[in-house]
Order: sequence, then structure tokens, then C-alpha cells
Amino acid sequence: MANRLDYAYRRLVNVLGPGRVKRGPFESLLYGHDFAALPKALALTFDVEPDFVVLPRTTEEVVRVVRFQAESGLPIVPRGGGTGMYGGAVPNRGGILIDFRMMNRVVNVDAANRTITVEAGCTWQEAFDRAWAAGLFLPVYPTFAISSTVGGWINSGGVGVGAMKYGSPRDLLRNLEVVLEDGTVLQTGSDRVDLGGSPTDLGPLFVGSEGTLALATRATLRLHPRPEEIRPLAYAFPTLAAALPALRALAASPVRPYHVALLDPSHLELVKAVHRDAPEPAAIALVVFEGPKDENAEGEKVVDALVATGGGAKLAAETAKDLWDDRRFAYPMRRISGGLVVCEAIVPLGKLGEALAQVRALRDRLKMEVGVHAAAVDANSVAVYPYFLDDEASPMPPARLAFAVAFRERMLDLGGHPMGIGLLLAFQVAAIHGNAHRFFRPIKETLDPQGRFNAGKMHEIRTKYDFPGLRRVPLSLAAFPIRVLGALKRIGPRDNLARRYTQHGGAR
Amino acid sequence: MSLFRDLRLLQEATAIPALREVVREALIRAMFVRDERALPRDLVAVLRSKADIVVRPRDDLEVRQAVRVANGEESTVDMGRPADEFHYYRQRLGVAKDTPWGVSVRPTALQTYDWLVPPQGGIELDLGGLDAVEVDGVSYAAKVGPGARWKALYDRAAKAGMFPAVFPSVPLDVAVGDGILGDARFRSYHDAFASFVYDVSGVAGNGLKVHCGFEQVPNHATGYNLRDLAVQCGAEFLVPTALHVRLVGRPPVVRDFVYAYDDTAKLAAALDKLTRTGRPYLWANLYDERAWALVHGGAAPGPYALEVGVGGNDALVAARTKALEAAVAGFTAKAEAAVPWDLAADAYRARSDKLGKLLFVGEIVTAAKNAGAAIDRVRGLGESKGARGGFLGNVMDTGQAYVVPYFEAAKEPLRMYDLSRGVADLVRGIGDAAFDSRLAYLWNEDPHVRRRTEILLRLESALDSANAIEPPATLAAEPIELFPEGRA
Repeated sequence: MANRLDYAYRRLVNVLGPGRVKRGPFESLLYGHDFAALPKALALTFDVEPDFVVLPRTTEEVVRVVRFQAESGLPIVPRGGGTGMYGGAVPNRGGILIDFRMMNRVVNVDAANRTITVEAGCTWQEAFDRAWAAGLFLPVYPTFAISSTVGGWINSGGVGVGAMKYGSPRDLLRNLEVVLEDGTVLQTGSDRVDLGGSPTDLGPLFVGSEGTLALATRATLRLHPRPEEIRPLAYAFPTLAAALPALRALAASPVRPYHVALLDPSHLELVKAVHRDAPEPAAIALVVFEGPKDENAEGEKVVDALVATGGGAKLAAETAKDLWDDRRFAYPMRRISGGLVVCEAIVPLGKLGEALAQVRALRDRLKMEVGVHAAAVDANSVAVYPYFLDDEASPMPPARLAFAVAFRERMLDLGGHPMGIGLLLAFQVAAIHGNAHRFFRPIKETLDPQGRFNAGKMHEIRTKYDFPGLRRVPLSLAAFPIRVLGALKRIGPRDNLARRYTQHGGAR
Repeated sequence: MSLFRDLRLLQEATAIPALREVVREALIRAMFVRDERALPRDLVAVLRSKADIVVRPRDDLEVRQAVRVANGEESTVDMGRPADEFHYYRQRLGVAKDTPWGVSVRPTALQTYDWLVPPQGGIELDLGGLDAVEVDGVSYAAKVGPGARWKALYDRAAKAGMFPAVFPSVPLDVAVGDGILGDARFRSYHDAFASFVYDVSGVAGNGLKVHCGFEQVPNHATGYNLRDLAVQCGAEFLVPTALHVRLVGRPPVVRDFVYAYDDTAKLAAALDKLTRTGRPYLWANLYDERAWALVHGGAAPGPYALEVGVGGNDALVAARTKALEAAVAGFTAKAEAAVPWDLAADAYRARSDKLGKLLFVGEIVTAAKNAGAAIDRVRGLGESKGARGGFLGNVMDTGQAYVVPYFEAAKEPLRMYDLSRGVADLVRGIGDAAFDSRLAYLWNEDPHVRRRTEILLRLESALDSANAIEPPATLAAEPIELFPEGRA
């Protein structure tokens, strides 16, 4: 094995040069998890540390790595900014991890056609800034825009800032360049013409595929004219659920906000634990308009009236501005424990109150410290983001995953759906998609029949073992250990990471 | 009816590279115009086929039953076919999987023309009976059958103070499901058809009911994106039985303004500026005089008309109208028209019948600033072909214009083919433009498009491994005769 890996190393160095092929223990450790640290116990099941980390700079280099994979058989795992939550970009059998962050160029901002073409490793922040400088606007970006890469978010999917008006990255995608399993390069659409909705536009198929179908190397995104003004407005409510009538009325109103964020007191309590000058914990709705000033002013009047009728109170403009400015730094409380796991699900707007109640019930049941915020997705649905602090040094972390699993199940019961599958949540795919989950394997086998890209995820859970009977975790059994640990967590002590942090100096 | 069946047959008939280069387009033409003298016998036989039986299901259970018959899970004895053929062989041995016998679906209305290859026997489902529209009036979502007319959805939503998030690109009386099953295009100024659909539920080739999405919320990535696959080519691997779609609030004030231009360059400049205003207009439609007269009645305000839907409260409508008029400067006349969707259902249908008499060939997709060039060329093409050419169209806030050429000509296959070819050629001359039509997909030789098509065909085969839905036509094993019976 060592000889084989040494040989593979030399071959990869021949392709990329020694500076861009890593196999040291530090790299292995670093790339063995994403934003959320994986429970140490998972090392029993998965080989989460890659054998090699490679950093290509061009699509041609990615193609050569893929062709080398065909010889070596080492699995390939693509990775962007590493801001995923469930290990989608973490290996399950070692292999070659392709870190795309050196493919980070903005290739072109086409002001006439209102598009931006970027390499997969370009961050959303960089793309946003370049578009803005050219008088254009990238209206949708993830919460982790500073480090989340364009390729990474397209692969993982989900909703972020601007969803209320502009949808998700899928709605911006005009063309995606991908390297297929046979080493050929495919353009899924066109840079020059918007093929959205045409039968031969393959781009949407790759959104949310978690890098299991092909390697995205370049994307062309639609841009919009730069707005004259972005106007954030903040309103306080007794509880987030109390904001529901105002949100419903907003959907029926003639104004269309750019973004609506809902901050639960539990979220602001945790923010306050690390930032003294953060707003006092309360249920706050942040409504953001973008566009011409007169539209925004009228929008503000309409929302003010709706909120006043709905029992809310308007907060100072500075508070709104601060909350908006902090949108890319939503999780400073990660400092408290070093670990944080954010869950994400979309539920019908009418079920928001129930969803929040379910989160609180789970938090109390599992004795955890949980913050929650939400964001409107459209007139009919809302994304709920509960997150929990996770102490990597504690022997109990796997138990906290029980929260994520239970939360996802409860959101399904409410008519919503959780987002993200990652390393070990494939057992929920059948519950999420019903009979349609039977399409997953044929899709994977059509585009990646040899299982070269991020294999053993999405529709199966593949272990590090290569013995018959141990290669895969039976999906029906996968949740069992997590539930057992969840039960143990219930009889264990209550988490008090935030309180301890406050006692030891706390907020700055 | 199936684009993939056309593509597969062409692929099979031109499998030899030399054939692909030499005869592909001639073959498409001969198949389109049904020129049997120029076609080999096996292809003629394929083109003469038709469904054995047409079934009009009343609910999804009946659709499921039809699919189960086709995939061999239920006996076909009642249909006069030997049970062992489709039960034992298909299900137990799988040897009949290549038999071109299965379920095919017809759209409710076609804007352009039929597919090349008809169903090869089997069951044709007429989904016109699945026309229920459910709007609960609380959530901004509706459930519609694939045969439900868009106009019926619009009327139901209007009663609840809502709009469907998209409108037909040409105001024909199409069904919502035609966006998936047929060639209807839907969009608003802001929203595309895909973002309008939450879920496409239907019956898969294995006979199971599937949801490609979620009924009450949009699907934003939790596993493979089946929703977009279903919206783009779902009817190739499942039979849709219901769509869950998104509605939006109907503004308290809705006004429909029209601006006339005497010059396409000015119109194109206005469109480009309009899409840079950042204002949330409801729709932006394009007409020439004839199309305006058909849709709105009466004389058009000018040779080229831009119709913009403005919604909001009084203050917003005033602000948006003012900004609109500044953006679309250069117009020679302006007027206010009736909202084009608010007609009574009968009148809407009557108008659709009149519009439907025009010969449509597809849609030109280009940047708004190029729309003028597209319009001029369409008119020029009409003149050169002896068929008056005109256009309808839409513009979206993305800066894309969708010009729908029409011709006043008899709907004869030869005419349709020549005019389609002409539009495809003129689109090449515009640059940064695409021709969205079924013939254009068949003609397209771009290697990336060919590759994507090949992937889609493989995907369809994998998703419908029972080959029960829209099965392909197969040619007899004899070689293709380039010059049948000695005729060159």
C-alpha cells in the first residue's frame, strides 16, 4: 500500500508540481473535517483523512487528476471552502481530495450580458465584489460568503442571502463547466445565451449533487443591475412566531423584499455571549429592500404598517444596519466551543411556529445549547437554521448529532425538507424523497458509473472497509447508534459551554 | 410524443459517422414532412405507427394502472394483447424491454408542431381529464392536474387575491402541464417556469408514484435535483399526474401600459433600459400590429408594441410608471390596455383559437438589446418566403428577450420546416442567440449540446429501466438505403 501511495504521489507531483500535492499529517487532519468537526468515533467507520490533497489551478489539471484516478483507483473528493456541515466534502475512504481554492479567478465580468464567469474556487464575496465594482449585483450568496466558494455552494445547494427575491444559486446559474468521470469537459449551458429551462440545460442537475456526479470547475452566473440602495429595516416582536401574521401580510402586499431574516432570542443570546455590543436578545425580523430609493421608501412604509398591525415595533436604523452588516458573520459563537453545527430545513411559512417549538423541545430534551434563526425563502416558505455548540474535546459529541437527525425528521413531518446529505445522512434520503429516491442510484451510475467522485454518499453510506458485508452501512441501521447516543445525552449533564465561556472572560 | 424518441431514432438511423454528416439534416427534413419516397422502408413503418389505444384517465390511480400494464406488472389480456408477451417476458425475463410498447402522453395544446416519431403502438394517455385546480386561498401554492388550463388556475388564484407566478409566453389556452409535456413556455418579468413549480408528481416507469420536489416548499437541494429534471424533461421518464406550483400576491392595483415604437432599434434600446431599472414589473410583452390586434383587439398603437404590467399600491404604481416611462423613452405613442389575462374564460379561449391559427415555429432567445435585430430578420424572412412574418415575445429582468416569430401561412409540414430552418439560420446571424424549438434540438451539432443530449438519453434509460414510458422506436435490422428503389 505504501509503495502504491508513493507511486501515486510521484504521479500527482508530475501533474501539479510538489508545492500543490500534500500528504502531510497536518493536511490530513485539516481536510478530515469541514465546518463542523466530525465526531472522533466516526474514524471507526470512515477514513476521513485524505491520502493526498491536491490544489489544481486549471481545468486541464483537474482533467489530468481525473485521468490519473482512472489508473490509480483512488477515490476523488472535491472540496471548496470547507464550510459544509455534514461531511459532504470529507473523504470516506481516503483518496485524493481536490481543494479548488487555487482555482479562484474571476474569469470575466460581462457587463453587456450581465454575467460573471468565475472559477469554482472563487469565493462568493470575491464574485460579489467584482460584480459590484462593474456596476452589477450578484444578488444571492451564502451566509459564509467570505470563505464559501462558488463551486462549493453550487455543489451543496441551499438558500442564502437574497433568497426571498432571487432564489438560490440554481436560479443564477447560466453555465457550469464540469469535468466528467471520463476526463472530458462539459459545458452544461451557455455563457452567451440563457438556456434556462431548455431540455438540454444540464446545469440544475449538478446543483446540490455534493460533487458526486462531476467536478465543477467554472461557473457563469447571472447578474442584476446594481441597486441604487440597500435598505435594511429591523422590527422586534414578542416571539418569532408572533411575527408570522406580519409575514403573511407581507406576502400579500405589493412589495417584495430582497431578504427577510428572523432572529430568535436564543440566537442573539449566543451572539451576545461573544459580542458585548450585539443587540439585546429579542425576536427580531430583519427586512431588507434593494432597488430604487423611492421603491424602498414605499416598501418601508408598507412594512412599518404591517408590523404595527401585527404587534411588532420598529428598531433603530443603526440596529438594522448592524444586523445587516453582520450577515456574513452569523456564527461568531463558534469561538465559544470551537465547534458548531448548523442544521438547515425549509418548512411552509404557516408551520414556522411549530418548527421553532420543535427546535426548543429538542433543545430541552437533549439538554443542549441551541440557537435558531430563519430566513424567508418565498411567500410560502421559510428556511429554519438551528445550530448547536459542539465541544470537540468532549467525549460526547456524537450524541449531539441526534439533534440534527431528529430536527430533520421533524421538519419533514411539518411538510418541509432538510438540506444536505453529506457523509452519513443518506439514510434519510428515502424519507425525504419517497419513491423518487430510487432515481438517485441510476443518476449516479449514469454520470459516474465507476464511482470516482465522492462515492459512497448520497444514496449509500460507504465505509472504509473493503470486506464483503462491511463495505456499506445498511441504511436501515445507520441512525441507530446516533439515536442511542442521543438517549445517553438525555441522561447526561446539561451543556453549559456558553456560561463557562462567559465566566472565563466571555464577550469582547 | 417525445423529443427523446426523435433524438434516439435519429441517433440510430445515423449511427455511422458518414451518415451523420451527410444525411442527418436530409433525414430530419424527410421525416418532418413525411416524404416517404425519400425514406427507407423501416423508417416509413416507424412514422406510420400510432398508439394502439387512447386512454383518458380520471385520476392518478388510472394512470398508474396504465403504466403497470405497460411495464408488465399487470396483464394486458383485457386490451386484446397476449398476457404472456408483456407479463411474463417483460417482468420475469426482461427480454421485451426493447419492445417499443409502452405509455405515451399527449400535451393538451401544441403551440408549434408535433414530434417526428409517433408512439409505436401502446397506450396513449390523454391527460385532459386530470384538470383539477386546488387553491386553498391561504398558502401561496396550488395543486393542478397536468391537463388543467393555465387560465383556470389564473381565475381560481385571482379569486383568492393571487396570481400564478408565471404567464404563458403566448396567450394561448394551454394547460399548465404543457410546460412539461409540450412546447408551451411560461414566464413573468421576474420568474421562470422552473421557479414556479414546487413539485412534479407522477407515475414512474416502475409503476410507483413519485414526487420530484416537495408539495408545499421549493426544493433547494437535498440530494439530486429531480425537480428541474422533471420540469425540463420529466415526461420522458414519468407520467405527470399533478403539479404543485407557486402563487404570488395579486397587487391591489394592476395596470397594463403599452408603448408603441416605429423602429426596432429604439424598441431594443428601450427593452435593455427597462431591464436595468431594478423595478418589479409583472410582465413585459412584445407584439407587432397583427399580434396586438389578435390579443387585444382594435388597432395597435404602432408597428411595434411593448406591453408592461405594473402592479402595486397607488404610490408604487405611480413611481413604477414614472420610472417605466423614463426607461422606455423613444416611444411614439402610449396607451393603457386591459390586463391580457383578465378576459372571461370563453373569450380567452376564442382569442386563443384565433392566435392558434398563426404558424409558430419556436422561440428566439437573445439579449434584450438584440431583440430588434431578431425582429427585423423575422420580418425579412417572412418576406423572402412569401409568408408575412411577425412576432410576439417577452422580456425578463435578467435582460433576456424571448421573441416568438409567427408566420401567416398554412400549417403544412414543408412550410413549417422551411420557415423553422430560416429562423434557425437567422438566429446564427444574430450572435449570442439561441433558437428554442424541437427541430433546432435535432439540428444542433454543437459538441457540448450533443454530449448533453447523450447524457440525457442515458439518464432517461436509467430512470425508466422498464422502458415503459415513451419507449423509443426501433428500426429493423436492415441497413438504411440512401436511395430507396434506385431514386436519388
